[in-house]
Amino acid sequence: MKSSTITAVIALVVLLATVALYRQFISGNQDGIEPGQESQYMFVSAGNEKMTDDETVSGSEADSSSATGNTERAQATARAMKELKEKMADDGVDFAAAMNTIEQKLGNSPDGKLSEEEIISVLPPEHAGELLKIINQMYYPGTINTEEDQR
Amino acid sequence: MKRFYLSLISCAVFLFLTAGTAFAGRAAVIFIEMEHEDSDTQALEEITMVYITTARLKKCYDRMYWLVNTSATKDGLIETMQTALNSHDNIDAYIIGHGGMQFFWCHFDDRFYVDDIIGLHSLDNSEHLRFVYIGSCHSWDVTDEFIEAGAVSAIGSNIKMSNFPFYPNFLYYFGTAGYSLAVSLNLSQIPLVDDFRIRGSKKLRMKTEQ
Repeated sequence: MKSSTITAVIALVVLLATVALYRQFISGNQDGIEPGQESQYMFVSAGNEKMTDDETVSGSEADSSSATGNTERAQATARAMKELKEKMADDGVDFAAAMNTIEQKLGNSPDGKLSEEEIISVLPPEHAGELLKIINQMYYPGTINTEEDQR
Repeated sequence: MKRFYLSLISCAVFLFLTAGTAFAGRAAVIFIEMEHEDSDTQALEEITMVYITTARLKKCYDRMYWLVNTSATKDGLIETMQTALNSHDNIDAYIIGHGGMQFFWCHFDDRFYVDDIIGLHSLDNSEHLRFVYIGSCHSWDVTDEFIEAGAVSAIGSNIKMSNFPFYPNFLYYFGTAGYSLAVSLNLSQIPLVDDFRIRGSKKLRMKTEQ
């Protein structure tokens, strides 16, 4: 066998082994949490079954200031949604018609996938814009319009 | 010889990019019924749910089966589950609505009881059921029935709950970022407010195949 062929086979084996190891490394890291996020997000009360893959954090270790901030943000979002609903009702928006339209659109889609524009268009434009603002407020990791990390 | 090496590298790169990221045979059944009394008081929330679910999940599944408004019935859910189980190898269900410890509400003021959930196990290809998210009050109590019906994992709330903002955040971490259920849940919970829990495998991820 030519030495160049042997070299090529060795190169292929090394390459595939490297790829396999790298994929395993990436896979292992996805189970982890970025440094610094633990105290901000993790809270597990005693005895319940939610936990990271390998560890739990007791309730007393939770970051209470972060909890308060997240709670206030959620409450603000709920208030904004309620105010928008009242405004839309005052403007005479037909919610039943909007739901019928969206149900029809979803039913007619061959793979069940609509664009975000098709969905939001069941509402009057002025209210659709307001709703999008509220939706974006709900996203702590980033707004829903941030698509660069979508697969 | 250079061409040979280039071919090898191309093959390796192709394998690297495609292995473990194939989405073939994955479908989602999405059931949204937040106003089972048909009062239109939660229509805006339902539209928001459709928008968020679409934005976060449409790239994760080959097919999305929707049950909203008048189609979110008990019979509709069972029939749609059967259709999805017959045509795809991995089925995830997202159930958003109201409920109690032994049931969740469907349209026409109907209830989907624990016995109905266990009955899903009798559907053909029920082993294709993979993950169930139940976003209703006390839904933790029905997660074990979904496991009994064949699901690998199920998430529910142990207390009265709101899907906002847990559900949007969870979809981001589980669907977009590709984290395991356990990590996605922990990153999505609001401390001292949410009490969502996982029944079954905590390590399941969007790319996990049955």
